[in-house]
Amino acid sequence: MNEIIKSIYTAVLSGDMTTTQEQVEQAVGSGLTPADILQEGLISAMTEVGRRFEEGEYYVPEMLIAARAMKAGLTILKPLLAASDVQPLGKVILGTVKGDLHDIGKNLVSMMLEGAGFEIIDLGVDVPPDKFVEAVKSGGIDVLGMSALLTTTMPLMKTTIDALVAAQLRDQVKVIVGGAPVTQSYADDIGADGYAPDASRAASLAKSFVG
Amino acid sequence: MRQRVLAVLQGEKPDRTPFIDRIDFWYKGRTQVGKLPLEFQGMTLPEVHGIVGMGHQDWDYPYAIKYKKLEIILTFEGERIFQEVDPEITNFPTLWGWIPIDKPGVTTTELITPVGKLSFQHRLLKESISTGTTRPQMISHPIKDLHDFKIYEYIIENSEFVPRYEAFTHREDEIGDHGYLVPIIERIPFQHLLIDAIGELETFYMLHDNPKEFRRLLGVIDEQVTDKLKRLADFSAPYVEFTDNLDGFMTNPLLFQEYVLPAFQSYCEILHGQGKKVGDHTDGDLKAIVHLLPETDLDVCESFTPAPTTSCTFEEAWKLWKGGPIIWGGIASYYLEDRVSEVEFREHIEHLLQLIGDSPIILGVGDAVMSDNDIDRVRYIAERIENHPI
Repeated sequence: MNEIIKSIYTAVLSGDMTTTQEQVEQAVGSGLTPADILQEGLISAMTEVGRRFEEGEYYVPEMLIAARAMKAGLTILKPLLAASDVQPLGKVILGTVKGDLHDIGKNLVSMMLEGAGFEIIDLGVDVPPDKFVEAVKSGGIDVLGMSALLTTTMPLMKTTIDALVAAQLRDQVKVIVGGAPVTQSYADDIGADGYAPDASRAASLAKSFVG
Repeated sequence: MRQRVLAVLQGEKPDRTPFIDRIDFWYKGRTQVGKLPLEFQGMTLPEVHGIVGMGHQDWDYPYAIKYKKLEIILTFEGERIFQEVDPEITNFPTLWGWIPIDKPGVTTTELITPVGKLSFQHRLLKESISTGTTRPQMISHPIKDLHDFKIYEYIIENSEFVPRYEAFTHREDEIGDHGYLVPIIERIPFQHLLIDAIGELETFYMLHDNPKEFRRLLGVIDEQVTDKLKRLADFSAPYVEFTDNLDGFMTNPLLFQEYVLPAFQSYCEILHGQGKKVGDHTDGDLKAIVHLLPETDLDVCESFTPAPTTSCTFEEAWKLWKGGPIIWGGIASYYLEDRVSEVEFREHIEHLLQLIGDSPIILGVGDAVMSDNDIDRVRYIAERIENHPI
């Protein structure tokens, strides 16, 4: 691994935002391609963050701080990636279902997906089914992710999937679900394509759909 | 039911395992949407508890805090609804009981002090009203940046303890013997900052970026909590409970060991010295910290919500907590949902009761009986327990 790339990787892993930014700028200045800096520096580091989270070596704070460092580096790279026509891994719509204001889980998933190279369209919280449908209609969406924290709002996941079916959009997008009361069995029952118990696994799941 | 709870808390054997929890979400939600079963229509919540056979658990604060040199202003959807100087508040800054819960909307709270102003917002959705979970969600928190720390410190430092023991006793009498009014005390300092004052994710940024200021504020809150707990010596209750909504996903083992464990140990020492048993509202996912809870000196983990609602199974908590804390809760509300068959539900209850035997536990539904739950299953559990003396 290139020394600068290695220092980006290390800075992201330790959540050092300032060093990440400095090293990304240095990497750009040294002639490394934005795609390589993104893939080998930032995304590789976030993949390792995900692994450490799944293994219980990292917890939410470490994941959060690393994602912030990654984002700081990505801010520098974004215009360069656009100029060199580097495409994101895929496009993901995220939202907490109608009637539910909880956003922590969704925000963590957003960070990990961005860290995996996805473009995120975050619809926020209390998102009605028709808003999800409209977002899918806009085109180019690979994955739709829904979150719910309450057993009383979880049924809105099925309502949203039904709305996608009614709009004849169900085949155009993979639907993944998560949240405290949601289980794999529930995801299967409502016709979701996948379930993830945490943010890191949500990123792995989304990657499996676009790989 | 109260006697059964007290027996368990005092290490004695009750005649039946106490089965006591909340069905207010179910009751309010069903009432709101006109789906309260005919047999319960016209009944009060305590009457419903009586018919169903599950003890009536409720909470109240035995004290308030007077916040001196503070002006509080509440605005609901742009209209000023409350203004007071030197307010007495039982739950700061969650302000349950102050934020409107009868209509959806955003409530903005301003806290004005001589050293600056803080503001934060709660939001209530119409769905929260119709499902009975009328608890407005904090969508922004009082502390947003470093400058806000000193204002928050000022508010905490200029506060004084106001006992409301008579009001508590009056409510206790209202609840009667079929229930238990739990005297609640505020969150411990770390949970206070994490959930109320700063917010979860923002706390982690603050802790990383400004650890010195964070720890200083923790210390200020700790002094206030310690003082309050010492004053509770005059309050003759056998049991008090912290309202931490503890969750091992957010308060992970590292944070727990650094900030939570020492606080519990110190506070339990004070309260045990007053002859009180101590519990904590632990309704989150405890998987990551289940092994650490016995070290806290807590006597009860209340609202314990096992798998599949969380990733912590009843069996692992039961095994690890043999020497305490006692479980209050233990039946995931998942088993009261129609996605679980009647057979699976009954098998689960039998499995739990066999596992428990005559060991101490206060059975309940974690976190609560929800509006979409089957009340007949609650009744089944109550009858099953009633028909089987210990």
